[in-house]
Amino acid sequence: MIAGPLFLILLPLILALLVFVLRRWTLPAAFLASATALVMASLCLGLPLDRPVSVLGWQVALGEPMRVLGREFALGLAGRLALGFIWLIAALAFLFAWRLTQGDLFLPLGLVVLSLLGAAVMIRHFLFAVLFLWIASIIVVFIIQGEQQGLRRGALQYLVMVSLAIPPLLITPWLIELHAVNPDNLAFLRYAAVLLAIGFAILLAVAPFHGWVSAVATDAPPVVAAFVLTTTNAVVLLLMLDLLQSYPWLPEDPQVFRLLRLGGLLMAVVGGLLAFAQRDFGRLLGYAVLSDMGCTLVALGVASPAGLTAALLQVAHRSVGLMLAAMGLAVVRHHAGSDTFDSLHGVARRLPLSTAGLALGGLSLAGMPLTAGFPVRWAIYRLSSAPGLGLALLLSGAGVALGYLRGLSAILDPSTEPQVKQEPLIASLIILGMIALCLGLGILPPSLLPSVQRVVESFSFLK
Amino acid sequence: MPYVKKAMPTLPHVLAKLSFLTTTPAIIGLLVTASLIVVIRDWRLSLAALLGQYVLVGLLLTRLIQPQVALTKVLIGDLVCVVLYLTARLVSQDEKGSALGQEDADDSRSLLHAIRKETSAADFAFRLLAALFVGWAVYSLSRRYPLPEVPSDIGFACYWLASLGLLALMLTEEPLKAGMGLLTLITGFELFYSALEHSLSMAGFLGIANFLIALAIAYLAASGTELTTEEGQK
Repeated sequence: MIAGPLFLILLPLILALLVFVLRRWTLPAAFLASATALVMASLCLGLPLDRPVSVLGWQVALGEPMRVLGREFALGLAGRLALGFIWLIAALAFLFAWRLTQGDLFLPLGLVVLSLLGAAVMIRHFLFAVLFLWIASIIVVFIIQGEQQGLRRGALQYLVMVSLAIPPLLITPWLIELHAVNPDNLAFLRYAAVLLAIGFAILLAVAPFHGWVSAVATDAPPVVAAFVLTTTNAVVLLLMLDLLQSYPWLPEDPQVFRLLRLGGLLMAVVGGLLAFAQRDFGRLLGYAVLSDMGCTLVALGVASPAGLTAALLQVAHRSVGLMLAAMGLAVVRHHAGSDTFDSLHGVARRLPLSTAGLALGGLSLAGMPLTAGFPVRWAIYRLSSAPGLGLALLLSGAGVALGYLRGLSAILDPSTEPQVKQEPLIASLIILGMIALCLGLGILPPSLLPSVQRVVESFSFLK
Repeated sequence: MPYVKKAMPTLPHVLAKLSFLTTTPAIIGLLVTASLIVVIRDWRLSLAALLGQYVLVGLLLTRLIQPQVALTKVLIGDLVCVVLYLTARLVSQDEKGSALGQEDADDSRSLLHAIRKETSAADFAFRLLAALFVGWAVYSLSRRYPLPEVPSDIGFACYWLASLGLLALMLTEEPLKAGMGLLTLITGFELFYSALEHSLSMAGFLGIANFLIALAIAYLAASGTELTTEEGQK
């Protein structure tokens, strides 16, 4: 019988080798990577956690813990949903990379990164989860830079910021152990809370540590940027929730949730303001994500099961909007050679679906009605007890939407005849599918809600 | 006289002989190496300083952890330096090549050279001043908030390496120099963390992370060179 964690970590690593060998042949490499991601997603989401099931002749027990060098790996309910979702998004990104390359290393290293992130989610030891996350993030640097010529600041900034976040997180468990030995000394817990706040603030890009998000969105190939921002953010949030669950003194301190709300508000305000001021779609995407991630933190800061449900749903809905905007941007940037508003006049006539994807994805990140971003954003506005908080989040979304509308007015300009090729068929079809998904999530009742509610019930710290 | 075969000295013997280096001399050495990484722009000197830094930290680590683990950390540091050396050579050859190509076309070369010299002198002075200022801050910090679980001199070295590493990161956008700053910062953290966490698996993970960071820096530094560009075109 194979333990689920072994399967989820080793299989993508082995297939990554094969994809690396095939990387020059985009079609087989992309299909293999995408199929692997799809299989992993269906394993995570489809297999039961409580009993073994036969998969291709092997008995796989998804919920069975596994020990390696004395460390336990086990897949819980939240980890299963997070990993399944991440693998699904990755499958789409890998498939898109078939028609519009995002760098030769994206496919094989993408699989390696996902395997390591899976290990970070499944290992039952915070220190080692942080280390797996760090190693995955270092590998991400290679795919952010890709084969681009000339130095890109995004990759270096990402490497530096993630590496700065790790030391405070590694020291925290030691402080918590010290407190366990000296329960009367609360200073240890105070230091631990401060270090955790610093580490997570950097990883979640809370202002003033937000610079790396826009740098990555500008410098990385767009789909790679969306992949990185979706996958690592989901894992960091999950680690944070696990920590809140493991150490009851953390959620008992009201300052923790106040800090989350404040950090989220800062992110949303900075993201919204700066998004409005941008003149290129790459940076705009970065600030739009920042604004949306701020809303997630505010929802977590509400400190209620409804807030946590909204936060988790928003992570899922954001990734759809973000991936759609990134795919549209990838086609536009590839065909027009730039993503500044000034250089894209009239491009919409030659690239209608990509423009639609770019705009709809962006508006979804802004939380506009009829898009995937709207239902959850609306719930978060209503959950924000302080009236100013909801209004600030609403204005932040408006800043992002105005930024996209300014870009859209340039791209729709009828006075210029652009010298741009028609958009590629397969990429357009994928974008069309994503548009349908984005609109569906915005109009239909949230289909992910029951699964997310089950995950929220598994976290007892909000009772 | 009959030939007497001498036994090869073991690691404890070597360390016993070098024990005088594991206190003040190592700390002074670290003061110099980290300063060189911040102040000097020449990659050869900076890299030699980084290599020396790994050896000195290894010597200090013998006071905190098993000598074998400390030696492994030094070896990983050496590997990191090898990776960075090969990359720096590639990058500098590429820069030399492009400079030679431009030489003929440049009429006002001597003027440019003078300006560049002036700028680099100002840059040197600025970096030196910044390092001195940070040094003063580190001295006060380590006296006011001594690090737990480590002797005071090692605590000072941790603060020093982390602060100078951070300063190096703030002063440059070049991947190689920034990378050396990042590795210095992480070395300072590891020196402290080794006293808190003794597990071998943790040491292994930190070693892997260090090596991967060196590879990532090398990849970023090489991205701008003509060699990679030509390869990409092929």
